[in-house]
Formats: sequence, C-alpha cells, structure tokens
Amino acid sequence: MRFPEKFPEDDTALADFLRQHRQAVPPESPDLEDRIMEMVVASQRSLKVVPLRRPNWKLRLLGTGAIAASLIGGLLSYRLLPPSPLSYAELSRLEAYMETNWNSAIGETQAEDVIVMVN
Amino acid sequence: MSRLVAVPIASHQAQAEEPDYALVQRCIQGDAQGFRLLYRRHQQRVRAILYQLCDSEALDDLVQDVFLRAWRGLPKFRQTAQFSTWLYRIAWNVASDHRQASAKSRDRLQVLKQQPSRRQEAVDVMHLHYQDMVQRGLAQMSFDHRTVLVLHDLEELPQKEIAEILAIPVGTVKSRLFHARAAMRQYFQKEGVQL
Repeated sequence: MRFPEKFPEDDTALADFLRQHRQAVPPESPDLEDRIMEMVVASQRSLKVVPLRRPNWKLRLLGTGAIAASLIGGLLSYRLLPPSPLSYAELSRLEAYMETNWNSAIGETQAEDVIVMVN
Repeated sequence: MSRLVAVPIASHQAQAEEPDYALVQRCIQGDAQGFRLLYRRHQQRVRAILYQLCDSEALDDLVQDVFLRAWRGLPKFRQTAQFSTWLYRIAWNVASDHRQASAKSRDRLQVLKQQPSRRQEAVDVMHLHYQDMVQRGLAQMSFDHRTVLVLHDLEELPQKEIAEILAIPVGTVKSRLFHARAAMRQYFQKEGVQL
C-alpha cells in the first residue's frame, strides 16, 4: 500500500462526526473517588517504616556490663595464668627445627635458578 | 451527546491554584490529598479514553487501576514529561492489559440494548444509530489505530503528545491516524453514510 507523501492534518468532517456521535461516558459510581483514596491511604500506611523499638535501658546496661566483665576476665586470666616455661628438651627441638628451615630457605641454590638469573 | 460530570466548585478553585508538578511533589512527600486533586483534575479524560478503548462495564475498575498504578509509580515519575501525558500512558497500558485479559469481546449494540429503555426513547433514533455506528466502527479497528483515533479526534490531544504517550515517532502517529480515518470512512460508506 502506498502512503501519501503528506498526511492530511485535519479531517474535520470525520472528526466532527465522531465527536458528535460518540457514546456518552457513563458516570462514575459516587463512591469511586473515596474508594481510590482509601486504597491510596492504605498503601501509604503499609509503606511507612515502623521505627524499631529501642531496647530497655536495663537490658542495655546488662549487655555493657557483660562485655566489660568478659574483657576484664580475659585480661586477668592472661596476667594470673602465665604460660609454663619450656623444658630443655623442648628448647633443643625448637632450635633444631629453626636451623633446618633456615638452611633449606637460603642454603642451596638450584642450577636452573642461577641460569634464569644470569639470563 | 456528551454527559457532563459535576465537579464541586471548591475543587475547581484548588485545581486552578496548584499546577500538576506541585501536586506531584506533595504526593511524593506523602500528601494523599494532593493526589485527590490530581484525580479530580484528570479523571474525566482518563475515563473517556478508557471508555473509548474498552468495555464500559469495567470502567470504574479500570479508572481505579489507572490511578492506583499512578500513585504507586509517582516516586519513579521523572518530571521531564507532563503528568497528564504520563497518566494517559498508564491509561493506555491498563486498556491494553484489559483487552488482552478479556476473553470475549462485547458487541456495542448489545450494550445499547441493555441501557434503560426510557433513555433511548428520549433521544433521536438517528443519533442512536450513528452512536452505535461510531462504536462499531471503533471496535472493528486494530487497537493501535483505534487508540490514535480516540486520542486525536475524540480527545483532541496534539500529535506530539500522543507520540509521547505511546512512545512512538510523530510520523507513526500521523501514519496510524491516516489509516484509522481511512478505515473509519470506509466503514461508514459501507453502512451507507457519506461524510
């Protein structure tokens, strides 16, 4: 179908006829506005954020006291219960372990590593 | 024949005072009364558009759906467009959804028959016949053509605004209007009416 180059802006006769003989819009029910507004208000209410209840001051005090007591307890137990000193055998084992690890870390260098470093 | 819906004078005064964007701001801040004013200002046209695009029996429900969707969507509404344009777009969406959802289409003539008989007796028979013809003419069109014809020729919205409502170029609006009018004229001719 070919389109005309320019669409006519107005078809007054047709538009007038349509407007003249359009069906009358039925009137709204009397309570429609209030019904809509009730729903609007209800949705507004449901969207409102309910503030969280602040905890009781007694509970807050109790919580703070418990935290402070556990901190003090930890500190005291660290001071009052020092770790027992190491025995001679344990010290020797530890020294031997450290020597072994130290040697393996810096002692022998692989030939490939040297080549890579030279290149 | 068009029926005027009475709106209280007080609301007219309120409508004249505050522009749409100010009312929208009030709504966003949670003032439901601002939305009541927007409703009173725009409901008649929304109602008319929906009526021309859908069945009449669900009209109140459709109007309600439009305004509730608008209320919920207001926080996302970017005020680059006019509120009315945005609202008519919602109305068009609601009409589209309704058409898709309704399984059976109703014959307008049947609706006319269901209206109170005393009303029919009071009006001119020819006028009734033409009314019926216009409705049937609209009903036989595609939804796209019908929408453009209703918005432009019945609701007298400018083509630019229709383009914004439907999110299509103005050229497409012109094209659809042209074809819609041609289809309508053709239908009238078939019915023996020459304009």
